Amino acid sequence: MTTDDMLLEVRGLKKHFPIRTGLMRRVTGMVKAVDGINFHIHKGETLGLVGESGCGKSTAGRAILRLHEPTAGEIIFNDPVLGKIDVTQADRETMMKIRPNMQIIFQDPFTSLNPRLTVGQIVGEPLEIQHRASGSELSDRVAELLNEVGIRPENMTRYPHAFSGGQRQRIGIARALALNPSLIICDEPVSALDVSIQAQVLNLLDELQAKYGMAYLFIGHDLSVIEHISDRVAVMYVGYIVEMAKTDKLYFSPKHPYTEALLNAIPKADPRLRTRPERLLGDVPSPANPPSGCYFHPRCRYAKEICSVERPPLTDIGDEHYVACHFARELSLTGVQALSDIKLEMPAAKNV
Amino acid sequence: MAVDATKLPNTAPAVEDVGTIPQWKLMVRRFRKSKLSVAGLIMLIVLYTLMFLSDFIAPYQHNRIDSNYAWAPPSQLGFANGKVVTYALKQTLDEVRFEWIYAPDLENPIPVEFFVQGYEYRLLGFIPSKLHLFGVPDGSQINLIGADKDGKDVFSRLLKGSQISLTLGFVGVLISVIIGSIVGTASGYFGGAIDNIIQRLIELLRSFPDIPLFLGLAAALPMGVPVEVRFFLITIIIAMIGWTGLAREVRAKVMAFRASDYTSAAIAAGASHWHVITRHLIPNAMSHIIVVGTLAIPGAIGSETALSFLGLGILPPAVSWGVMLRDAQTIEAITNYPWMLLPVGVLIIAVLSFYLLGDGVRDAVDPYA
Amino acid sequence: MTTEQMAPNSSINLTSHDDVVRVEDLKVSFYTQLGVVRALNGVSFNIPRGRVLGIVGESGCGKSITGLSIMQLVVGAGRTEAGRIMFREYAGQEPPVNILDYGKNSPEMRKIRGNNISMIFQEPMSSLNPCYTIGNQIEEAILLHQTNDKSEASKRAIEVLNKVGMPNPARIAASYPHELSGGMRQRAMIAMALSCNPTLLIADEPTTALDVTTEAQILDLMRGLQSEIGTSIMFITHNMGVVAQMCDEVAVMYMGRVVERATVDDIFYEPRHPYTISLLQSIPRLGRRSGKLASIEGSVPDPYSTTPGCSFHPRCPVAIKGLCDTIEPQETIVDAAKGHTVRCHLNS
Repeated sequence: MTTDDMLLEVRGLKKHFPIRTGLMRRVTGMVKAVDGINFHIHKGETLGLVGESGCGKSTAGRAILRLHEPTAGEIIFNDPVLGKIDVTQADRETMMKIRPNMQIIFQDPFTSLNPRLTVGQIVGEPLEIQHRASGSELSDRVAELLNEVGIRPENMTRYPHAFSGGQRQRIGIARALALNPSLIICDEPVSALDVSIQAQVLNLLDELQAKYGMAYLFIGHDLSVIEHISDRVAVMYVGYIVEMAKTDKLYFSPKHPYTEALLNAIPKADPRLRTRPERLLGDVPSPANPPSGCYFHPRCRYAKEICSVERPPLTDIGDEHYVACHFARELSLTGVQALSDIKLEMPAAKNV
Repeated sequence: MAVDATKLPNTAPAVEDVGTIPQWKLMVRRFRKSKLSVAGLIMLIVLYTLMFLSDFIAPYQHNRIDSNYAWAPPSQLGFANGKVVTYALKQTLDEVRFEWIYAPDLENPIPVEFFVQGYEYRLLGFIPSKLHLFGVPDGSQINLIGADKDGKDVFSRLLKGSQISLTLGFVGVLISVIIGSIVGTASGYFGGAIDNIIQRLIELLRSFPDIPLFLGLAAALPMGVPVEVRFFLITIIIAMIGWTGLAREVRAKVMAFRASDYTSAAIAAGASHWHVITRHLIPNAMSHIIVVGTLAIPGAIGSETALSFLGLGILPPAVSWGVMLRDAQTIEAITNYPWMLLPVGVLIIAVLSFYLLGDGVRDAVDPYA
Repeated sequence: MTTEQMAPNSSINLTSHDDVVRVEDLKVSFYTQLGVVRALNGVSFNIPRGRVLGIVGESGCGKSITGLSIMQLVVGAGRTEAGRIMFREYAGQEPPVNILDYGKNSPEMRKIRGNNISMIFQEPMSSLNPCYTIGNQIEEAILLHQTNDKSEASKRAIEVLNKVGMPNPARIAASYPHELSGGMRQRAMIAMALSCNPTLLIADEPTTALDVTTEAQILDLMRGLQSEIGTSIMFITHNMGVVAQMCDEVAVMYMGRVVERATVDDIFYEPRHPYTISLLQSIPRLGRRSGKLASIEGSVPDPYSTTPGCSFHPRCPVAIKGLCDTIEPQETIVDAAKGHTVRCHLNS
């Protein structure tokens, strides 16, 4: 894999939120939401970023766009015009040039669209901000974008409240698409949708990627959805990436005990697969007060002494399979069992 | 392209496309559903119309003195020869209590004329006119709701007083809304040190007890200035005290909108602070600002009345409802001349109407609150 | 008329065994400023004693309202317009009582609520009082329905906390809701719900707000307790994975109707209703990456509108013109022995 293929490289990214108390707003602690993560995204691929709530996956996504100012680390973005640039160091002017190439789609379709603006204004806003189009050219482009995501262009004059959750999510996608980005951060874009709508949106994202070749950083908590959409997957636990690998590898031969536990915990949509595997006990620790050593060691059934002392770094064990575990090469862990292949056929129409 | 937009169901209902109605129009619709609030709005329209036309409706200048009519009771109206008439007053002296006793001279009807010439005034401040809605021939007097101790017509004073009482609160709140919105938006949007300083300042201002602060500021006003200047200064006092609460509410709203995903999307597209504030924050906070403002007006009207009642606000010869209430301070006045309390009634109607309106606007703007 | 050829709804009596609850033709509407929402359009199903019935469907299909109706907790503009909810506390008890005969706040209803039927919700924080300790709240339920002895109640509270797998029941009993994590709170809710040994437990999306590892713990717990105590459970969820893992039988709901009712195996391996099939096709299947997911076209119609004929026909890939869009399909039996019924013209 050549380095030119690299679109985004994140090195040692940290985002700490201060805990302030008292009248003088003194900093009494730090919530280490993102605590030194490393990952990369190739051009045109989808990296799934999965983890439980509070693990810092959304914060990481927003820090890349500098919607949260990163505390430390490098975010090297390969801009189509400017070349490789560290986003964390970019000045206002440079940011203005990079921003169109990195866009974002949000989780909640009901709060991600300004209720006071029409759909046309919402989708056209990025184009206006970047002075890409105005007047009839703008409305032509907006119509094109809406068509692209499956919303009739006549709906341009309507307001968000007239649309269902799935349609709103399409409008949000059109807005992200407006500036032809090479990277879209998808922050749990289907988590708030019903299953039937979820499939529509996932298919749309797939189609758009096939057509325009942008990369996705797909943040989510549903492992089935992540598996479906991602080329590679990174698993986060308490602000740290514990494993990152190609999707099939990660799902069928995980190397980190947390990944194994996560995969085992998914309720399988197959009543014949009612196994009772070893369950993970206890709760996720607070990122304000994480345990020593490997953050997972208090819940890990393979933990040894070293795990409570030393935090394992994320290391490549071959073929782009990165694991942060002292015993990554020794443990033999179980991945997912494929669900039974159920043939689902619609009842045939008969003469009535 | 696999997603074919034409195949998607058109969700537009056949009769009316609710989707194309902007949010503020939906709010107007919701507002109209609340009957009490609409009643409040209508009442306010009536009050403000009367205020604008007060010189036209008032038969006399508010400080026209006629000692023959001191404490005159409300004129009795009647109907004679197809015309509205009133009656002259017969004055007799109660020799025990040493007071004038008035009785209508029913033998002697005086016709009430409409659209008569009277004192000169400027309608709405710029149209010179002498025309008045009604009046009686010179030599007699009509006091629809009685007269005060100098024989000044209470009806005319009530109308004239509304010019100050109804505008001062309104303008005061308008100023505090402007200050509060700017400061609140800055505080909520930029956060950090700016927010910290502004919030501490607001806390400092709010920690002064309201009434003594009012009194102190009002007592510091120069006495010998024209009515207009005094009016302006009192407005400023009311605004100075009112803006802090509003700034806090706007700040809270702006912070919420600042953290919203659509703001993030705009920032991710490279939007400037100005774009974010004017496109996303202010329009969304506007409805809330209007609600808070509407609900603040009655308080401001009350403040003016209280100040004037205490003799620190508007001073005679200018008249406001608070000034009028000064004449109703004694038990004697209230028991013998109950019409002197009428400004209280009008004040209650005005304040209540503003509250009803504000409640309705709030429900319309934020139906889930 | 085609309708006459089909079996009338009331004649279906598939269940020879004992039911805890039978909901019959339940209709609930909400009268709002914007119009009437027909939340339930004639819902019928039964909950067999000692089994777990899953109620599955998308948002707005009426699954939560069904649960609230059984508890008589539908508030505000909601009105029960027709139907019966027959409840039988003990096996063989004759005759069953119609819950809807009791007033919402009648003493009979209050006795049923919490004692005979209890409910847990998606967000445990909304049903726990932040001002009282977990122990207090469980004791209160026990004192209300079971015993008058305070020390006995607190003993039982700790017992039941132990039963739901709390690591240190005495300490948990003394803590306030905000001191517990989401999973612990849900455990506390379950403890409270089970404290009076209810005949039926209604669980409304109890794991939706939880993370997947916590969800697995709670599902294991509920499964374990169910087989131990034998409480019947009505499990409301939108997650097909949870259905497959938790339920014995499943009722699939769409727009205020049960469109298919079968054993969990039949729902997953031999679904008959096009909606059930589409739903299963549209979920990404773990370990089986396919290029494109089958999706259901369009979206759930807005709640104020009424759809003539089969409510699913506008989105149904195999709808028959002239039939599905005009005549409402009746519930028909697919397999009487297994209790598999479906509301679809293609299966009649």
